[in-house]
Amino acid sequence: MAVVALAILVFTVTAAVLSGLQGGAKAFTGDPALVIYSRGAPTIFSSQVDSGLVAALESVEILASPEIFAFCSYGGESFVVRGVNHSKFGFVGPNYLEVEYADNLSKYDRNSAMIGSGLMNRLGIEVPFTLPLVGSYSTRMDFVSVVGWFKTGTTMDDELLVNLDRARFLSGTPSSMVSIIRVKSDNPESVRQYLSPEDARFTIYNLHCSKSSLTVGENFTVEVSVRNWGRTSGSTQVSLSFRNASGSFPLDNVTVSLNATSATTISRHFALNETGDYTIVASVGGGFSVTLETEIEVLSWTMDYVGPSRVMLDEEFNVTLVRYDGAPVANATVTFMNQTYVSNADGRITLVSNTLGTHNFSAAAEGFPGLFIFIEVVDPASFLNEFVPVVNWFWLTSNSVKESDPVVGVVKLANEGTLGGTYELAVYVDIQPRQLFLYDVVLGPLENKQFTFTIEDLSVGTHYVHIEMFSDQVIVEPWYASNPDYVELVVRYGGATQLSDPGSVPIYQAAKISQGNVELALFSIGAIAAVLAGLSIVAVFSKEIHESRKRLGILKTIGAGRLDIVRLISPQALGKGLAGASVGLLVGLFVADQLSRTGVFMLFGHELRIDWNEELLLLILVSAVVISVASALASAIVAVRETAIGSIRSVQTEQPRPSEIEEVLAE
Amino acid sequence: MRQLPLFKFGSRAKTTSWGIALCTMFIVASFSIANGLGTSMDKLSASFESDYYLISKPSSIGADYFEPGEVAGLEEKLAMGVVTSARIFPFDEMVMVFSIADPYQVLPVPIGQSVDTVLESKLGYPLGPIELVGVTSLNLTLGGLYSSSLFPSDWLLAQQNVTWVLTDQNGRYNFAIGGFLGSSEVNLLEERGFTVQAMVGIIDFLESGVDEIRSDMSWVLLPSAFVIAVLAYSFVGAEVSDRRHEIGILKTIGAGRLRILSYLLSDAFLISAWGGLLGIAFGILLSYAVSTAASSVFTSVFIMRADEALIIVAFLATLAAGILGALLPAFRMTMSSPVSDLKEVGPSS
Repeated sequence: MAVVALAILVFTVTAAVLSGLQGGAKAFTGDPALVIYSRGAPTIFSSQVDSGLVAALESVEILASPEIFAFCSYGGESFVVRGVNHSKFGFVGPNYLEVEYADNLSKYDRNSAMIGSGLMNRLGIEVPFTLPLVGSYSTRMDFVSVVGWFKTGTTMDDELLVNLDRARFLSGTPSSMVSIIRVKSDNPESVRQYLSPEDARFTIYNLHCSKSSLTVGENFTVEVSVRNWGRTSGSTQVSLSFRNASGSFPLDNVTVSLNATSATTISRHFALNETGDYTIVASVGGGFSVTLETEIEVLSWTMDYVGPSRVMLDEEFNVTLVRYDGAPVANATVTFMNQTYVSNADGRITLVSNTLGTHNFSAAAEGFPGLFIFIEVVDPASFLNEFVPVVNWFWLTSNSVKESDPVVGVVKLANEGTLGGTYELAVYVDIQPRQLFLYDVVLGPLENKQFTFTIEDLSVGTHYVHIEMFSDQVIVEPWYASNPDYVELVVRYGGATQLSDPGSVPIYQAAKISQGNVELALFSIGAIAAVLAGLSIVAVFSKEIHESRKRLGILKTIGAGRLDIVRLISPQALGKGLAGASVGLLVGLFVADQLSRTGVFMLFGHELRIDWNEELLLLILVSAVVISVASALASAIVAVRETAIGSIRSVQTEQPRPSEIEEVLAE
Repeated sequence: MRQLPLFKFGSRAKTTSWGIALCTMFIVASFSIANGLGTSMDKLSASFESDYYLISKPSSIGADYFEPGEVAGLEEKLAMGVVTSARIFPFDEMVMVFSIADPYQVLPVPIGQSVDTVLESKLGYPLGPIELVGVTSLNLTLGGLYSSSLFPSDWLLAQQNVTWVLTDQNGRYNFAIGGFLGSSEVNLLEERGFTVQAMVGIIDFLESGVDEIRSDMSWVLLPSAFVIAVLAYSFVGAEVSDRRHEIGILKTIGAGRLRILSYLLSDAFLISAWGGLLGIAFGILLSYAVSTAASSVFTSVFIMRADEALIIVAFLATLAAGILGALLPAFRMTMSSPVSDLKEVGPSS
């Protein structure tokens, strides 16, 4: 029984240590929190995640802590230097079981570091301590003040925690990247679904209409981007519809098929037949439904006058007739000062002002309502011989726009003098110095001009635009009408990262070795260890049976069959085997645990720790029972194979010839 | 006197040999995995180069100050410096201030400073008068910028006298950067009590990681040796049980206890040696088979390499375990009295 116990003990320790080796990734993730690292990074060491993801996660109320790995050695001991943001790490990182600071020193100082209790023991230092550090991948040096030590009960106890920027310098990580992001959420599964879903997951974004104002029956294009941020390909249906005062009406349903982590833009042409304000709606269903909206305005056909409202006496001037969208209106009939003109293909007419006063200008064209305006003909001698620019009116064309859409402003300017010049038009946004836009507007003598400008990239929110004494406001809305923060999160970061619990992070990726290879190798070692344990048990049982062969021979002689022998031997072998296995199992678990705590096994600067989870315990227990039962059965078979006569007489099938003994004796 | 053919019972010996071979194969395969990992790590670390070393003198509070004379003979390969923390006013923050003397142009890019001013890199302080407070206070001018990839950009570069005044360690240094040091020079520095760190940390990190894996994997010797010992124990135990009568005769006619012990142990040695050789052969085959199979199945190649030194260790461990396992039954047999041995019914009685 002692040998069985020893064999199972050895097997238990071997299996537990192999399990610790296989799950050694925890060493880098530190504790059972979720960690995000870049998908496709050849090593977890070289993982680089966009640090903007931290803010994106926090915007949806997920606590996140960025971390950067650096690698160093001192006094012959290698260790991981983990750069953290201490204020964030305090919420997301592991709890400190013990922590102690040197007097009057703060971990928040630029050069401060905190050392884990395990590493402190390995290096044989006490705090405070000035520790020289070197670069990870390029020639660099740094000195940090170790101001305190901590104990978490995790593998972080073998590490040095420094300021994020220190680790960034040592590892050469770009300023916009971090190694991993530690995440804490009440619902980890939802985080996984957002960032690293197994199945195909779709979202839509960037809904655009080709025109925000159009006329009845005029074609316009609706574009919307679709992204599958899941790990598998799939298809989804994007619904396009519009909403107006009468209700909601479908426009089209588009089926989109996409490969994993890919995107496309769908485009459809529509026309609307009634004037009014419309809301174009795009939506996608599924587990993560998203609805996007944008506004358009449908107008009746109109004709606009582009030309001066005031001209000088005897001046020849041009006017242009255009549609609402700026297209020229050709063959329009124009009446001015009792004369009739016809617009050319460019919508242009040349007029002459030969009488002082205010005159009617009328235009008519097929399909358009008539146009009537007044043009004032003035004597230049009655105006100042200067350049006198004046802003008469200003407005923004839209009260609200979508994020990334331009804001269009219209300014009515006039020159009250008879000298032309260039006016520097100043447009302030929110009265911010950095949001001052300057435009040069050329004005002729006594000219009235309508000037249009656009402002790009306004942030989401309400903005006030000021010109001279006029101001107007615009609301910039996010593209994502529903769950805007989440949609932005998945569009920007979904699928680009890997979110994992520590156990599934492949440790030996460090050597660019596939995880499968290592698992195969470790499994092989474990399997052979089990076979060896069984072999030793069978060997000892066989020896016992061999010594009892006489009794077995007698039993066979008096009629015991093979089955009877098996029945006789098996329970005894099984009893001893299981009893020995129980003792071996318990002692083995204890020994393995103690071995892992003593720091005998090291793995990339961390003590190898055995995760005593249910699966591992079940595996070891089942293996121990299987080994014991199989060994007992094998022993019974050995007993059955002993021949009855051979057993009684102890006649061996192979013996030295008596002559050989005689020869030896003679010598 | 020639070897007594006590163990001519082929089937039992063969079975035991195969068992021992299995154990040795297990050892060799485990060593091969560790070696394969080591080879991969070596390749990885070979892609990094470190020609420079950070040299410091450890003490109970960290990097200590040392005299230039302590690095005598190596001056031409060293750039020596001082780094210390100080409070900077009017900004009222702690900063690191450093100076470095590089008369032999050891540093990859020369870095120098003027006499009266302190230079910053990316701290963002406005230039102008500052006060640095270390052990003593100094009124200085923050006079410009420096650029270096070697030192952190939040360190202030000062003249050497400044750091000596701030630390009150005139003429002493607390770090040195060594360029292109040979192993003998590194050893010399270590013998003089210095810590020498390669300035590309990943090299030492990976190398020590490989050593750790190799060390961890060497523990597989324990279960394998145990099983080998049990097999040898069972084998010799069963054999002496069978041959007790004959051994009793040998004792009666004058064979000494030592001779009986040597008979039994030499046979355990033979069985273990044969099993060990078989195991090594199968272990090497298995290593290459797994390596080839894994490479064809998985995307990356995982080399399992059998190393000569480790093979010898595996073989010696097999022999030692076999002999140790056989020791107990052999010793029992040796110590039993010939009379009790002869009472046992012999095969031909």
